[in-house]
Amino acid sequence: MMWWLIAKSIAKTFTLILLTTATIYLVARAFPGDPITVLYGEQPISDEVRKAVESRLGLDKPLYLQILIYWRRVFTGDWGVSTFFAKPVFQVVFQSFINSLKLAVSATVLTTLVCVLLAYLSMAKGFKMLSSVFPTLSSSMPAAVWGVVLMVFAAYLKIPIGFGSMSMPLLTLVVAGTGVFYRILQSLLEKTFSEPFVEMYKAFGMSIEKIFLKALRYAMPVYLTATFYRMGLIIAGAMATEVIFAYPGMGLLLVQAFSSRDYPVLIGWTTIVSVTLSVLNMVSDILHIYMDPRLRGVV
Amino acid sequence: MNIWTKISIVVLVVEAFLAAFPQLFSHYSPTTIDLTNRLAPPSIAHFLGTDTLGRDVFIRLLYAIRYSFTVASFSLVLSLSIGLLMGSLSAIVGGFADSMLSTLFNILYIIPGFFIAIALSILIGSGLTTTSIVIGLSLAPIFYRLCRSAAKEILTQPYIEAAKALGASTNWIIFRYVGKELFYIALTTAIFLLSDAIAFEASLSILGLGVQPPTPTLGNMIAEYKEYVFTSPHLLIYPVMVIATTIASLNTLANEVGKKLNVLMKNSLL
Repeated sequence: MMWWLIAKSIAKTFTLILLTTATIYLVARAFPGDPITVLYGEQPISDEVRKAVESRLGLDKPLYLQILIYWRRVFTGDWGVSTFFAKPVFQVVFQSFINSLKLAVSATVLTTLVCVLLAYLSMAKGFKMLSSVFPTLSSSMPAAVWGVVLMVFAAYLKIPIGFGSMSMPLLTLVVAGTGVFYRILQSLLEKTFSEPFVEMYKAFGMSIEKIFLKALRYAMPVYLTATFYRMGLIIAGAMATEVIFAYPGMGLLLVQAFSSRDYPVLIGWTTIVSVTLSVLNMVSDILHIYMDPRLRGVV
Repeated sequence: MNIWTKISIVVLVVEAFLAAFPQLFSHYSPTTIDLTNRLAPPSIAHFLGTDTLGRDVFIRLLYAIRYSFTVASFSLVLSLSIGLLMGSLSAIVGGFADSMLSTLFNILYIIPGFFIAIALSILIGSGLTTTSIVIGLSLAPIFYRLCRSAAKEILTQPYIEAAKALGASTNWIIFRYVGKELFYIALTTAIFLLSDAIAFEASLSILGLGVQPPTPTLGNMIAEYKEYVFTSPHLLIYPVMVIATTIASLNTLANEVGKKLNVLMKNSLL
């Protein structure tokens, strides 16, 4: 049962990725300008070269065949040549992607830890004030604006900012993310604490710390889904933060590619971000199946 | 209604008033450059001083609030109408149409908003309308999913059964029960997402993909003034303060409304 559900989820994601890349291709074909420049970058254009490239990209074939050829190129990593960096697109995008991934993963893990700590302090230890003021403050500004605020602080306090290093964007993302994540976690935990099984544990005389852990275990699947649900907005914020601190990730790459009208990189960028988003969706689905026994039909 | 909700309402009303009639408060233009008067300190003539190009910061801020609110509200109206219409259609019709629409909105959800922003700015040029459409399209899948699952849940309620048993027509059920309830749910979500829309505009502008300068929006002002963070950081404080108070007020208000209406989605995803 569980494996069947997981296989279904993977198949769905794969279809979605195919459809999304096709959409991106079609939108990019509508851009003004020569499709070879848009999709493959500047070439030393002589007629033979142009003919060769055209037939290689299948531009002389009907549209549905072009999409098939494009899919093959996407999956074989033949993403064209960047017009701005003069390097293969895949290489350029992948490097930034790894940098962004490092930042995003550390930020998510750190933020979740901070949120769990705050929830523990407020629910098990009774520090209500601390855990209501900080999240309100945090969610009053988007990540990008928090980045600017931290930068102003640093400017007034004469603290040197390491542009291009990970520390400042990480700090910004954690500070800005805590509010959103905490609100989700808190409402879930509050709901959990009113469930009958918590009453039962209380009646058993279980310590509040242990009950908190049980409640956390119960709330985690929905928490994960809820955070994945907002992933689009979180990624948007993370990219703007990267640009502010000149961190060499996907955000900075996008700005460079857009300002130099580097279409091949733009398309590659969009492809990799869409694939990441759909894979994240899939992972949250599978985690959900794994963590919630009811979905597997076990209970 | 506690004190914070009241403060939030006052803040938002004052902002709305300032944004609606900026010319009542200052006779400057938000885009006139006066290079002889750069970085002037706050004075009677210029309430908040002037910026690096000698433009009056106060009037720029008023227009920024005006444009940011316009973009945010327009994008929400757009995404709300798309999501409400398509979501209820999906739930009511079901079957093939449902899976087609779901796939379509999944694709829209997965394609990053920045790509939509770039594609639209290349295809139809950038501006206030384009930015509104970009944010609207990015938020539409959220409304779609919400309305679809809510409509499905409403359709299984006992009172729908009762209405059917009493001989109510399908149209009556759709408009009187499903439509009405969905509209309230979507409206509450819209209040929640208003702050997200403002935040999204700021992120777009900071990346240079939003409304283009010299048109002031809150995000645009931050994007422009962050270049001078080490020489004149005070310029950044005004737009940041406005964004922070606005979003905090909107969140407080949304929580209050959510509590009042106690809608289906309250504990789910926001």
